[in-house]
Amino acid sequence: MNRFLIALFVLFTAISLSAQGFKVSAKGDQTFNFEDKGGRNQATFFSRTLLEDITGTSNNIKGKVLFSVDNIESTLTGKISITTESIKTGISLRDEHLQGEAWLDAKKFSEISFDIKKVNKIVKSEGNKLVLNVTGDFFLKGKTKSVTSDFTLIYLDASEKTKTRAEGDLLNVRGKFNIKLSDFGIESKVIGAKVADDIEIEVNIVGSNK
Amino acid sequence: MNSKQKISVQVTVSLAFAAFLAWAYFGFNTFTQTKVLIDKKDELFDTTYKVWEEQFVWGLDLSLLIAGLSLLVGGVLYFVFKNRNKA
Repeated sequence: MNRFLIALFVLFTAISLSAQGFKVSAKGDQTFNFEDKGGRNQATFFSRTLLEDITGTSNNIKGKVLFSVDNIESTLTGKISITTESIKTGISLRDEHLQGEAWLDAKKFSEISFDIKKVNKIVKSEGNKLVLNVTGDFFLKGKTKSVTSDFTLIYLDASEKTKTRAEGDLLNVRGKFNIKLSDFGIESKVIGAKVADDIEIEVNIVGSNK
Repeated sequence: MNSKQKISVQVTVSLAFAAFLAWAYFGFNTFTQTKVLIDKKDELFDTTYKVWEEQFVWGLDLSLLIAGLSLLVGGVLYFVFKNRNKA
């Protein structure tokens, strides 16, 4: 009897895990494009030090995310990038310094990107919302480092409401992760005092499959 | 110290004090900014995103500049008034 109950539990767990994915009308393979002409999509960075907190934003986001709605865990791929020169911090002189050779070197390295490599696990599944633990390659100033973090994905089937934003189904991707500037060869006397070595990056983007 | 020198010292100190008062009023920011980030609500996905809006924020750099300039001008005037008195 006990064996039967254990087998039933294992079977139930396996079924519920395999059923994890978006519960939406859309089926099969989907490609979401994150190029947003309205400039609503955003990548933000935060540097926090005792002397000064700096927030920078970029609305010039490009990229695609591909997956099969029924099996997102093993099919998710894609790459999201921003143009280096699009980063704004609210002070134009600081922006100029940031684009300079000593910092991001925008002339030589025009893009900063995140390339999805692997979904480690589905952390949470709630209807059209999934929280995925993803590992990807973060590219900055000619160097690539592996980054792992949780990302929240919300899938909206096309409706009158979503049309106000874009045609087709919409996918919202949100996530936060941290990088170290020193890992990417960015070193300066002001790091630690006015600029943190540990930078938090936040992404909040919406893509459409049409 | 003659009356003109007294006035120049008072004006200098008042200007420097006002500059630091303005810095405190705007929230003790290190650098002067002309744009600030405002959170906007995304109703569709129930999230927020940030938008740059034109807004002047007084920084410590501006206070130091004003205080420094007023000290410089005040100092020059102090000696000018001192010399005139002697003449």
